[in-house]
Formats: sequence, structure tokens, C-alpha cells
Amino acid sequence: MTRYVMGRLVESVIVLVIMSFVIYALIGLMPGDPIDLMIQSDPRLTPADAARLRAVYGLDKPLVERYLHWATAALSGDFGHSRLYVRPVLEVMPDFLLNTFNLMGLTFVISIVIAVPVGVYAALRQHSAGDYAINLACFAGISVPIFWLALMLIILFAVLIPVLPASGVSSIGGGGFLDHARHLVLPVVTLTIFSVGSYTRFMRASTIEVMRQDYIRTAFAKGASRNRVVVRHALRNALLPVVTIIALSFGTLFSGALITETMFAYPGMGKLIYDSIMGNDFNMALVALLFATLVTLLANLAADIAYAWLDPRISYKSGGGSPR
Amino acid sequence: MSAPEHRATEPLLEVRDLVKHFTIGGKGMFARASGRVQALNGVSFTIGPGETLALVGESGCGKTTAARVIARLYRPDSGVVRFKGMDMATLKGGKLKSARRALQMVFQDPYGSLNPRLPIGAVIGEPLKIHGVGRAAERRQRVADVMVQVGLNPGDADRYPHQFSGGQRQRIAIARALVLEPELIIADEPLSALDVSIQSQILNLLKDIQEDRGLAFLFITHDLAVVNYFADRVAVMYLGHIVEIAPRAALFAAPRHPYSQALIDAIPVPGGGKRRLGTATAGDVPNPTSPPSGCPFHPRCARATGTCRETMPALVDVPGPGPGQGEHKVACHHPLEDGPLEDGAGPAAGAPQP
Amino acid sequence: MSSASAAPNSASAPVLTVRDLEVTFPTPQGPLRAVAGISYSIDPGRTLGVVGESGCGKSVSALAVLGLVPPPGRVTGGTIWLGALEVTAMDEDALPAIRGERVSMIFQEPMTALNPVLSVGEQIAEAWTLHRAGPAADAREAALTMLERVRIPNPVERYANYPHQMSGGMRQRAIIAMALACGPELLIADEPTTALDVTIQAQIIELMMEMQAEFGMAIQFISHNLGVVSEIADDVMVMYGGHIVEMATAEQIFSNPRHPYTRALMETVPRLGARARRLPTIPGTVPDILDLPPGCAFSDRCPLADENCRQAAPALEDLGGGHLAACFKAPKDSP
Repeated sequence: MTRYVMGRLVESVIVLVIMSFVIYALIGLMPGDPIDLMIQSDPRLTPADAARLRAVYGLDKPLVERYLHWATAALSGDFGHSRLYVRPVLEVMPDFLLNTFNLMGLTFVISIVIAVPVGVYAALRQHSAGDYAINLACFAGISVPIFWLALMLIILFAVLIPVLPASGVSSIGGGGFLDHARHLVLPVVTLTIFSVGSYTRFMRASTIEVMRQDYIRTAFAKGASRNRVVVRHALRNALLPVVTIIALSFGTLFSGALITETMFAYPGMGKLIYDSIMGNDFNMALVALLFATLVTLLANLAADIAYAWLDPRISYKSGGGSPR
Repeated sequence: MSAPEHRATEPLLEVRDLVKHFTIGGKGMFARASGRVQALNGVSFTIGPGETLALVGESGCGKTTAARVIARLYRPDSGVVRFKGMDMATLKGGKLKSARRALQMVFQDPYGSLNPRLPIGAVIGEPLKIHGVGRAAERRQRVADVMVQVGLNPGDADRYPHQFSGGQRQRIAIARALVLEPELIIADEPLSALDVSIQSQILNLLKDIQEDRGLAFLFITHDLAVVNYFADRVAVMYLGHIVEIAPRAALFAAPRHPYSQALIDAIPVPGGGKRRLGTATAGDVPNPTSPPSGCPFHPRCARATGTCRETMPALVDVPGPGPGQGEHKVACHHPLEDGPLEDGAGPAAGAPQP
Repeated sequence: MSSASAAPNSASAPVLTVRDLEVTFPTPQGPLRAVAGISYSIDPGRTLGVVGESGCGKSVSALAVLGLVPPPGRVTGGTIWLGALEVTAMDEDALPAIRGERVSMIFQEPMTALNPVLSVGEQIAEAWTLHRAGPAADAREAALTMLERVRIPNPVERYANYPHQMSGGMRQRAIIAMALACGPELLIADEPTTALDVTIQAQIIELMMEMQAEFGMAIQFISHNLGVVSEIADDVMVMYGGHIVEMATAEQIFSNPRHPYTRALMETVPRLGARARRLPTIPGTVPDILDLPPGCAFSDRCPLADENCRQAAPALEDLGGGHLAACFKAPKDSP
């Protein structure tokens, strides 16, 4: 197992290195660079000044050379300065990270706590009125555009019935726990509505599939009650595929978080990436995107480990998993 | 039995020393392979024109792998497959195409092997199209002819596979295999998925085809009773080895390998009365990832001695009277009807406990 | 067996009594009577072999005994008694108490019949826990004893095995251990050897016979394979299109089959001894229950059928010596 995890971590590092180049290249290919912004804001800048500045920042060099320069510095822990925040990139990130962690973590936990029992309930009462209602709600959640949902929630709970704050992480001058929590409510609700529908659908489909298996019939035949069959025999098997799908949907959740954070002016990773790309803050965008990549890779690894823990047939030891 | 007259001619199919091991486990770039399934461990046999060889054995014995290697669905690790004198591994272009035409397969699950979105006329005619045989009208005629031959109504050519019963689907699969007029059909458990009353219909159909067309068959099955009706010769496989190969009558009359005997004894006979306790062969079919040392059957064999645990017996001619030399071979240190055990060592210590 | 409504006599009464059982599945083409009114009983310690092809109703009627007919199918008529207990009158919630305790069932696929994420020992222990009060250690002890009794070597080691770590034969042994953990009066086995290799099939048949000698339960053994049934059954019942077409002792039925379907089934099976050029066959296909001929269900495939057979359905009647057959053409014993 340890060997497997180590191997996977090495794989992750390799993917990360490749991704760093891809992201670097993509950002490099974007129209405009920081000097263009300076020209816009300062009409007195001459083309000669621009060329000199580009040389100073190394922007006149070929892409690969620039990348190698950046990578060498990055390996020694220097990820560069953020243009927008005028601080080292690594100093800027933690606050945003914590905010996103709160938003996504809470959404994740709430979504699963809702999706698992609701999905199982719908599966056990397939084609009942309750099942149809749940399916309808799921499709509504999946189909509603997230920005529209965010706007509606803001209008409803911040404007028409002003009980919740519409943006930010804390009130000006405030900052107690309760205040922070109140600011989280609307973004978390938005993102939960966005994600819980698909999780519920997965759980429902998976449970229906498991309830058809022979071992479920065996469990009934030995005298287990319906509840016992569901909880002891069906649930763990039904969770197996769901774990993978949820982990793989981490990227989707992240992009959902990006829109949600932008809509609620919530200073998290999504908003950080959005702002830094819009503001041509290359260093910031690069590191933030790389970090998002790393987290997604780790989520996938976590899914595989969770899978092995849930399913005794999966063994990452060499020589294991053979019958008999 | 048509075996004797083509004994002089060149075999249609010759398989020599086929070895095929599968690696299992080991996904991802840092994982290690976790085991090897030794599916074929040096398998050799021949099939003459118009002859039927049955390959018999239990799960994991390698019979299906052998079929797939011959049909070029797998590449063997080593060994040669010669079809009509040509080495299948090196065939290319037109020659490969004509070899493919002459060698067709029928599978166990007739539904899984038929495209559900094509009407059965198109399913049966597809090989003709692929091989560019005839014009559309000619092809239709040939499809109709072959449908009649397998007992299907040509008027049903526009219906879809799901509209047919299991037995009829197997007829469709057989028609598809026949339409190119092959010389050899490899049939992999073609009866196993069918109901009892349908099995005999399909078995008779195969027999008619065999006799009318002089087709050769490689018939893969676990059921020795079926073999008795259909095969000219029988090869019994156990864990990647052929342990006995003989003309049908000789094998059933006097099996030499204890495993062949065990297989015959295990067949339940309707009306044979209740099973006598203690007559079942003990032990599990071994795992092909870790086969026993020496003779693979020794842990289940009542005749096993120390020699059996150490060395794999070679497949050699059965001595004494009986069919002609080279017809009956067995791979056993202590074959049945071979007098008492010579070294008197008694059953090996590793013999199974009941 | 006097009247259809009276409960069976308790003294030396059959373990299982089924009367006029009817199981129906609603389909878009109309109701499908998978079991069309069958009556039979099994005496203590006896083995009834049930033979038939796919769709004949042999599995569905067995599931009905445990109240496990898969929805939307349901029992639409008749009565089932386990001893003097009328199963068909029981509340849905009361059924789990008898499953595994008074009647157990094992299924065809040992590969899929065990829960892949629980150890084999835990699953056997659960069968005990569901019906017996006691600490976990007792359940474990009971499971270990059962593993030993079904001749699984190294029970302590095997207890912790997951199903995928066992061979098919071992798994079927474990499933039998689970089914017998509470010592039921009746074990229903639905094609328990069909998925196994022939040498392993022989072992499992022997094991079931040994278990019957030790535990004394009655067995209802369902199979499409006449040979297998012949090896284990005391009595045999042949089903076709949801009906019982013949029922007798194994001896009677194999030495002198009376129903044309039974006879045809026996002739079509390839055998080791005899070797004809062609096998006799039954024409036509396995019947579609929704599209049965009027009159006798077998009439469209039967070589003996006449106009009467195509119009009236024959009832199961005693031809002498307790040999029952549902056929107008079946020869009766001369009185």
C-alpha cells in the first residue's frame, strides 16, 4: 500500500511538472502582457521604454527559456511576486486558500450528507412519487446556471428579505465566528445546490444496481430485514462507485466554486485565479492554477485509497488480489 | 469416423508447442506485475480435413485460450500455428484474408456475439461483404441458402437478434460462420448457454453440417457426454497441458489419465441412481497463477507418487494393443491399466485429505 | 390430503405443503402466470428434485416459499405451509423470522451470491445472529463450526477470507454453511452446481447428501440437469410452462417416464454409454408463457398430441403407485 501511494505521488509530481509547463505556455499565449497594461495606464510610455521593460522582466525571451528560468526559481522556493497584490505569491495565497477550503469543504460535507440518504431513499422507492420528486429536484439543481442561482439567492435573501449578507467573508469591522458563518451561507447553498443533484443521482443509480445483485437476495434469504439488508449489505457496495465519481467531479466542483466566488465577491481561490488572469498577474495565476491541479490529483489519489479501504477485492500490494 | 482416410494427407491445422502466459495486476507505471496465469504450457495437436477434435477440460485449463490463439485473437508467447501449411503468425494481406475466410468461430453466448442493431440477414451476410464476395443479389441468395441450411426461415432476414430465442440465435451465429464456406470451425462451448431441449437440436445441426460439408471442427467444451456424440478425437486439458489425446472410442473405453477418468466419472447419468458418497475427486481445480510442481494433477490424484510431485510427465504413446501407434497419447507417470505402481511409494504426502 | 383449505396434519406432516400455488407477473402484454396452480409436498428428510427448462416456473415457485418473489410478481393464489405454519397468510414483516431459520435457500452463482465486502465468516455468523440471541463470540464460534462441518480446511483462516479469495467450490460450501447455520427444516437449492466444474459439482452433491444425513433437513433441489437430479433426489417433479407435468419417485420416473415431455427430455440428453448418429430432439422452442397453446401447454411440441390435447388441459392424476402425470396419453397401470 505504502509503495503504491509513493508511486502514485511520484506520478502526481510528474503530472504537476508537465502541467506547470502547459499552464505557463497557455498564459504566455494569452494576448497582452503586463507591459501592455502599463502602456494603457501610462500614455507617456514610449515603445523604447516598453522594449527595455520587457528585457528587464525577461519577456522578450522565447517561451521555453522563460519557463526554465521560472522553474529554476520555483524549485528554490521563489514563485515570484504578485503584480496585483504586490507581495510574494506564496504570501498571498493562504488566506484565499482557507476561504475556499471553508466553502468547498462545507459544500462537500453537506452535499454528501444529503445525497447519500436521499439517493438511497429514491432508489428503494423507485418510480414512486417521492422518487419522481427527488429526480425532478436533482435535474433542477443540475440544470440551473450557477450564476443565475447565485443572483436569485442574493435578490431573495439579501435584497427582498435582507437576512443574509450578499458578498465578502465578513462585515466591515466585524469578524466574529457568527459573522463569518453568515457570510458563508449563500455561497455554500449555491454550490451545494449545484453539486448535490448529481451526487444524489449517482447514489440512486448505484443503489438500484446493487439492490439487484445476487448477494442482496442471499441476505434476504437468510432472514435479514429490509433495513438491515440496505444498511449492512447494500450501502457499502453502493458507495464504491460513488466515491470515485465524486472524487473525479472535484474539478467540476472547483469550477463551480470559481463562479460562485466571483458572484459573491468571496475572496477564495476561484476569485484569486479569476482576478489574476483578468489582471495579467501571471505569477499569481500560474501558482494558483498549479495548486488547483495538485489538489485535484490528490483528490483522485484519496479516492483510490478510499476505494481500497471500502473494497477488499482491491489490493495495491504486489502479488495480492489473486483468487484463492 | 472419417479419421483414417486423411491420416496420410497433410493436417488442416497443426498446433505445436503453444505457450501463452497472461500477466495479471500491475496497472500504472510504478506497479509491479502481480502474477502470471499460465494458460497454455506447450500445447500440440493436429486436425485433419473434415475431422473433429474436441478440447475438453474444466475452467482455467486453457481450452478457450488455445482457441483464441489459433483464431489469432491472441498472440502466443511461443509455438507455431499452421493452417493449411501456412504459419498463421507470419501471414499477411491476401493470404491472411483467405486463411481468415477458411477459419470461422462460433461462441458460447449467441446474443453477445450478434450486433443487436443489424437485422439478422445483414449479420449473416456481413462476412461476405467484408470479403467482397459476389454482388448484393448474389449475397442475398447465399444468405437465404445458409439460413435454410441451419433451419431458419429466410423470410425472417429482416428481423433483429432480440426477436429470436437463444437456440435460434445460435443458429444465426452458425449461419454467419458457414456463409463463407470455411474449412475449419472453432466452436467455443456452443451449447452451454442453451436449454436442454435446444442443445440436442443444435448438436444435431452441427453434426449435419459436419457430414454434409466435410467441415473440420475444433470443438471446445467441458461436457464429455456431448463430446461422445460429436468428436472423432478428444484432447483432455488440465492447467495448460494436454494430459491425454485419443480417438473418441479409445478414450471412453479405456481412459489412461486419472484426470480423464475423473471427468468421465463425474458426469451424472439420468436414472443412474443416487450418488455413491466418497466417489468425487477431491480438491479444487488449482489456480493457474500458481500451478503445482510436477504433474499439475498430482494434488488431486490418488495414484500420485514422489515422481509426480517433481517432474511433469511427457505426452507419450500409450503402449500395448489398441489403436495404431501415435493415436493415443497420455502424459502420466502412472497411467491407468498399466499394472500396479512400480516404485511402490504409495500416494504422495501431498495427496488431498477428504 | 383431504381438502385444500385445511392445514396439514401436524404429526409426521410434510415439511412443506404447496397447494394450487399461482404466481403472476404483470406485463404490458397482460398477466404472465409464471406458476399456474401447482400442488406438491415434501416429507421430512426427503429430497425433491425439480426439473425443467428456463421459464418453466421452477425458480419462481421456490422463491414464493420464502416470500421472495421479485416484484412486480406476486403470489396470486394458493397456499404454502411450512409444517403447520401458513406462509401465505403471514405478514410481510414476519417473513424474515422464518427465512434462514425454518427454510433456507441457496442459489446458482457462488461467485455473486456472497457480499464482496464482508468476510465469509462474518456472513455466516450473521445468519446465526439473525435468529439466535447471543454475544458476538458465540456467533463466531457457530460460524467456525459450520465451516468445519462443510469440510472447509483451516476454518479459522478461512473465516477472515473475503469471497474473492475463495474458489467457486469453496464459496458454494460457505454458502451451504450459511444456509444451514440455524438448522432449517427445508433447504431449497436453485441450480447450486450449474456454475461449477464437473468434478466440483460431484463434490457439492456429495456434500449436500452428507449434510442431509447430519442435519436431517428436507431438500428441494432445482436443476435443468436430469443427471444431477438423478444423483440426489428421492422424488422428482417435472415442470413445463408453469405446470407440474409429472411427479413420482426418482426410481419410478427414471425407469418409466410417463409424460411425453419427461420422456423426450431424457432421450435428448447426450449420454456416455449409448451413441446414436443423431440425438432425438424436441421440436420447437422453450415455451413463451405469454403465448402458450390452449389445452395442454406441451401440445404444440408433443408427438402424441391430438385435437383433444389442443383443447383441454389435462389434470395431474395418479397413474398407479403414486406416479402422477398430467397427460391424456400417459399409460395407466393396469388395475
